[in-house]
Amino acid sequence: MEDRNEISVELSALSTLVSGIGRQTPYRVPDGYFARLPALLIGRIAGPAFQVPEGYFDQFATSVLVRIKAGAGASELTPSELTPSDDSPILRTISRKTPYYLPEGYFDEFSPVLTPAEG
Amino acid sequence: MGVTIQDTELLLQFRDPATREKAFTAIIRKYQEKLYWHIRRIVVEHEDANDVLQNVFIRVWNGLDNFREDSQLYTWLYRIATNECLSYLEQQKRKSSASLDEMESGLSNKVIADKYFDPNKLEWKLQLAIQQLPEKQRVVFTLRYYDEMPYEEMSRVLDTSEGALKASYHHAVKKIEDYILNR
Repeated sequence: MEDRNEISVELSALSTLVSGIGRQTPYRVPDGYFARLPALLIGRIAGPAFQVPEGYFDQFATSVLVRIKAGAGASELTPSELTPSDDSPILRTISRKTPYYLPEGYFDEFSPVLTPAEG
Repeated sequence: MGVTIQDTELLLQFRDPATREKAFTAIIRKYQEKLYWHIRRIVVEHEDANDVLQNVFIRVWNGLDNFREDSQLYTWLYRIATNECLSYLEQQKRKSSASLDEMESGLSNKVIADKYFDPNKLEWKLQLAIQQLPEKQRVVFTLRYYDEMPYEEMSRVLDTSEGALKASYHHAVKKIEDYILNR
């Protein structure tokens, strides 16, 4: 295998001009780049250090609204107690009556499917 | 020629899940600067060199288990780095629909745009001259001139015969000399 001296001799024979130029590449590197790189790469490979609980984002909006309400002096509501009309001005204006048609006397004639057990 | 004793130890540690990350960190620390400068001389800008270098080490992480140790680790790393550089340049060419000449002048413009560029300094003229070389010849020149890589090793990095590499390097030096003398 060639050594460095052989490589220098070859270059001098090819061009004294090129062999006389310094081997220092004139580009500069941002300070601390090499110190930071290993950790940065490990971070990319290992993935995020923290995991988010399952379903976290599903409840997130409701949880934030609960806290906002609590902060504004409203009663502290749990997410299950919070009804849509409490956070929607439009829903507040709509009647709670179900608009579907029900035949007259339906419940008077209603027969349960299951009968109570005797005895 | 196989891996050095120290690289053998690093490879063993890498293959053990308990010490894998520690070994990988050690490999990065050992080779990052050499690989960075090899890449930087080809792509010129730091941001591009950083992107390519990170891609290289990601590939190393994913491929090191399959490294056969029939060459030095250093040679294998240089091979990945060189391929990533050439792929990167090819990608840039496709993105900008640039011709080969336009790519070369683009890289020369990046050299000139460097904050510390000094047209009166030979080291900067050399960087401009390097960008005039065809891509593979650029790699041959930088590996021999800056990394002082023997032809035998370069042949494994570039998968090219030693004779072809020697001819390429000799032509590169002459072209560089002509460029500098005539600017």
